[in-house]
Amino acid sequence: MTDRHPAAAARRALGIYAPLLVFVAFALFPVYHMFLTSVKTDRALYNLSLNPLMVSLGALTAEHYRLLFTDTLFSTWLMNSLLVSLSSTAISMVISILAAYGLTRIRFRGADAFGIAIFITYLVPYSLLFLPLTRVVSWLNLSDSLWALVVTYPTFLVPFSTWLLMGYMKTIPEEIEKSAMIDGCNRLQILTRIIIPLAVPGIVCATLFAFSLAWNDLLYSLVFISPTEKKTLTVGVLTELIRGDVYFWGSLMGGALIGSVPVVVFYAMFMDYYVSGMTAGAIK
Amino acid sequence: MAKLVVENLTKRFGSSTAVDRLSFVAEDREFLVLIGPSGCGKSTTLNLIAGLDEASAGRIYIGERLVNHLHPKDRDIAMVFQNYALYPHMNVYANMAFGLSMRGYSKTEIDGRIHEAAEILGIGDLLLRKPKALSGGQRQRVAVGRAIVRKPAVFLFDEPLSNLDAKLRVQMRAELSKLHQRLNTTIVYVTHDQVEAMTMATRIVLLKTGCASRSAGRSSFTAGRSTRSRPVSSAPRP
Repeated sequence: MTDRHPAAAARRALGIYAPLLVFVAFALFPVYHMFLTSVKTDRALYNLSLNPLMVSLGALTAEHYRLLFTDTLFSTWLMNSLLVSLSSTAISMVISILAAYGLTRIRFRGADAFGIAIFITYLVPYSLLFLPLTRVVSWLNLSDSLWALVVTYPTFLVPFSTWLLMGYMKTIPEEIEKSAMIDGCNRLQILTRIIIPLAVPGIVCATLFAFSLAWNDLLYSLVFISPTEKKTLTVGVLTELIRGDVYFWGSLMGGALIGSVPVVVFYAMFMDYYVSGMTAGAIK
Repeated sequence: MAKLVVENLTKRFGSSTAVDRLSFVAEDREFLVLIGPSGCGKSTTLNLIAGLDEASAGRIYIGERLVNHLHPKDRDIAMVFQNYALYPHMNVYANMAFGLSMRGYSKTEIDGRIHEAAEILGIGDLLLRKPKALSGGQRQRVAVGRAIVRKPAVFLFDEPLSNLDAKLRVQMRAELSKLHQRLNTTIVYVTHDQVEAMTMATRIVLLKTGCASRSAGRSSFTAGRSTRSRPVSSAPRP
């Protein structure tokens, strides 16, 4: 029986594609609604008799995006978010890769305990950590500076990334490292020339998660930064487009939509790394 | 090409002793096989000789040099692992060239050695392939080739044929024996397979719970003598 058989095709459609369609619709509905809200006129938005899931050609407008880019510092917030997220992710990944390799490969006393301690650190709610971190930021004289975020974000990015990378590095066979040692590599060379190339899928995965966490953060940006021009995207859109009890829904949704794009693009670019099998062929 | 001398080699892991005052000699150009059941300390012994692990006690000499405190790269050894341990992100050529490039050999020298080894092993047409595109036997040949290009004083083989099917194992045994004759080098070979030991070794050291219980030429073992613990003695090659 081949897939071309009508009964098999129908089973395939019902069993695979139909549930997938439902899930895709569920996942993309918020994006659809955001987009629709961002291109509707205020009159269409506030007219409750109209269907909120549809828009007529006459109700389309680019006014919300114009307001976003000309009447607010949206571009600045976007650049701030990019700068903070990329910097903190890069710092966190350097620390995490070194930590993960040391904890999984270098047999020192307490290595296992350190690994568990790092994971327990991750379990501490980061919404509680901002209280002592406020003192640290103030002591470092970084209040109201983007650097406050660059130094505080690793407190929740490093534990998660280290734990993820530890799990991945444990799957790399030890014999490959022994071979590299005999070939003349020191520890750093083993890490840079053997382990990191083999751990690329894990590193990419950890980097994407870390970037998403940093990009989507609201609390630390809200607490540590006050000046409008230093705000990140999440805080800027939230605080500057909600004035008192007036919600600029169109621009809010437009800002949120544009803010989602970098993360979506990065995930789409590196999706293949999740599933690539780099160690196939190294051992039997 | 050098003599390997192991004197009272001991390795403890906590309260258990994996290798217990092991002593043996692999003469220059000898094919010495360490044979014993699983868990008797064969691979641990090889790791200690290679410098991949630190001995708790004892001495290891390669040639005239005491190598206990030398890094693996400075011991002039090459090792072939049971599961090949090829670098999966490099092709065959790069795998074989890696050790030489780490030691600063010129491109010409590296190229020459790789092609020489590839011709000996019959893997000349595989040089641009990555390990995942090779069969088990081909991967093992590449692993051997990676060791040959180094031209070390001592070759260490850690059960290299265990992961191959029976037919390939027979073929590779013959090839390794021929290789030994061609390279005329010192080989220390670890296995649990008696047939491998009998067909390839010039001398066999029988290990039992971390100690050498017997050492003799191959013909002495085929005479069917007892393998109970006796003082280790070296017997001449048959």
